Amino acid sequence: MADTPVVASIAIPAAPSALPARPLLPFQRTLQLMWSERAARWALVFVAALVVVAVAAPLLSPFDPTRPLDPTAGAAAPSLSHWFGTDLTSRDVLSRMLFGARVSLAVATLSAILSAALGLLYGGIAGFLGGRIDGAMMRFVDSLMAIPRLLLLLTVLALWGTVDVRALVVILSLTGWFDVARLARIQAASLRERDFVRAAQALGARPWDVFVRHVLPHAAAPVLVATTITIGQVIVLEAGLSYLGYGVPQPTPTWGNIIRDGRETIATTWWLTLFPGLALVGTALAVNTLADRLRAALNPRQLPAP
Amino acid sequence: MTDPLLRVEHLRTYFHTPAGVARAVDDVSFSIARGETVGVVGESGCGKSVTALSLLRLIEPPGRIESGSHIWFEGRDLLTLGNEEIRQVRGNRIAMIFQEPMTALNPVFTVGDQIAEVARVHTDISRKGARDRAIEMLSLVGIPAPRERAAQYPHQMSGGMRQRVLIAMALVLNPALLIADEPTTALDVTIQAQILELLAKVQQEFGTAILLITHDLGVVAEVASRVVVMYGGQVVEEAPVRSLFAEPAHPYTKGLMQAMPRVGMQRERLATIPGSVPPPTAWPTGCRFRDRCSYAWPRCEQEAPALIPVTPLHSARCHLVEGDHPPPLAGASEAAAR
Repeated sequence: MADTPVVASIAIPAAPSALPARPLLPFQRTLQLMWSERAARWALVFVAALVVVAVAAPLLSPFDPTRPLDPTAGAAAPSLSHWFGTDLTSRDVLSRMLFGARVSLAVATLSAILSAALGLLYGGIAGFLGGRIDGAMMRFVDSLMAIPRLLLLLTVLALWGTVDVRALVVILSLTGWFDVARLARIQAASLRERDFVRAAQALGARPWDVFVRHVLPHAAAPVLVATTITIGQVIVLEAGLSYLGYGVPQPTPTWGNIIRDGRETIATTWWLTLFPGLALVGTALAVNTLADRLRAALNPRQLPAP
Repeated sequence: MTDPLLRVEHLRTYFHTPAGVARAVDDVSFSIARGETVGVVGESGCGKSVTALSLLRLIEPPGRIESGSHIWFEGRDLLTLGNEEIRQVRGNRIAMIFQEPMTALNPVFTVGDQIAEVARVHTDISRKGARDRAIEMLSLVGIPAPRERAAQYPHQMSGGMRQRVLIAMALVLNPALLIADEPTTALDVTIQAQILELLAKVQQEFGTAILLITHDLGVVAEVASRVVVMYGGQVVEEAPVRSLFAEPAHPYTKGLMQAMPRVGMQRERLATIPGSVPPPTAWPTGCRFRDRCSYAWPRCEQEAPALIPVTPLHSARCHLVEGDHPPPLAGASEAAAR
């Protein structure tokens, strides 16, 4: 539906060679590299469309996602007025999915960014300081990583009772930063030995300045990739938690909640599982493809020579 | 005589590694007067770079500057300063430039930004003021179109130009001492000459003292007024540049001279110094050069030579200086005598 304008806003016209070559900004160059590949192009379009849908959900939704339309009617199969059918309490599934995209994307993006920031800072500091502090900080992360994340989440959420969306974001962030921390640590530890870090120290830069100016920016590319992967993971994770009844509480629509609503009548109300399921698979696939191609595009060895 | 700008006394920097204690710098003393250029020469692993890093206290564990060492600079012993005080000295009073201009600049910031950063770290200068100062520095180190260049990233510049940028960074705050660790090693010969010329010009204009670390005697001959020759973590000879080249006193220095090609030289093989530097965890007893020295005799094994004056300004760490030595070993003598 919204495909065409989205494509147009992302596409970068190839610079006519007659124009004076203004160097592309790094993000433009990255986008251009990704756009040149079919899989990445599809993933970009899909994710962009999803973001538009999530943001414009109130405008696009034909019905109120939480209000039963006809309290006496049960679930109805997809029809012209309800494209994706209605659920057991007679709510429009398409509207619920549009609003659900909002919740899923917001939760996943926010918690991925929060955990990336946390991991970048923690791992960056550990790698930058090195020595025993580094050892102690990373052993702590290792011990946390030894606990399966889903188990940890279920325990916390079960003890908590009902959680609102903000608390869920915090909990997901606090359990999701370990990988990024390890990544950032490796980057920082190798950057510490680089000549320009040495040179900055020799010219009297404060340790914090050295860290912020000379270490963090170089850890950004791998952390950006890791964050994108994390977004995909958290979307699936949040759907799983909602499906198990520990995620975003009803009646807030999420893809996981919709699937949960239809789980007992899956044989007859297949549309309650199929459409949100497809949305989940498509999103996870698109986000992972994006992360994979982003990794390739951000690899400095793939950049054309300046 | 007035106090020198920098006086290093009994500097010992040891690396406490699992394989043993590496005595990379072992009792090194020398001094630099204001505005003077001192060259430190020696082959890889002789301790010259570690000496330079020690001066700024940039030695990282397992390396350690041992107690008993002193680095007197502008009336203070740098080794007694707190971390914040030594940081104020770095870049401000003593600056350093490195060997690899390709990697010593941060690729994600413009060069103007990186020069301005040094000024902003040490002074209250405004963002705008620092940027103007950066452009001024670029023009001073001979970069054409400095305003445009300041907005460029390191990858848009050649190696020689980057070394100029690094020199500009080091000189922003007009330090009293510039430590240049192999500043021309990574550059083409023609660019080398330009950079050396620039260093000489800078010194005349600002009166900056320069500690020039190199393995290239030609570079030293061109810019230094005094030379410190290092071997095995020690100073083996120290002399004004003319007397060092005219009458080298230490067999190691003689060997270095013979290993240097000369204009008008017959087509023949260059002399070499046999063997290589022993590992710093296991210096030989007595003289550290004796295994490779064609003059070595039993005394060299029994007794470590002290730094002995040859003339008032020229000294060498060799028993030969005292005179009473047996003739050098046959075969080696011809090469040495030439």
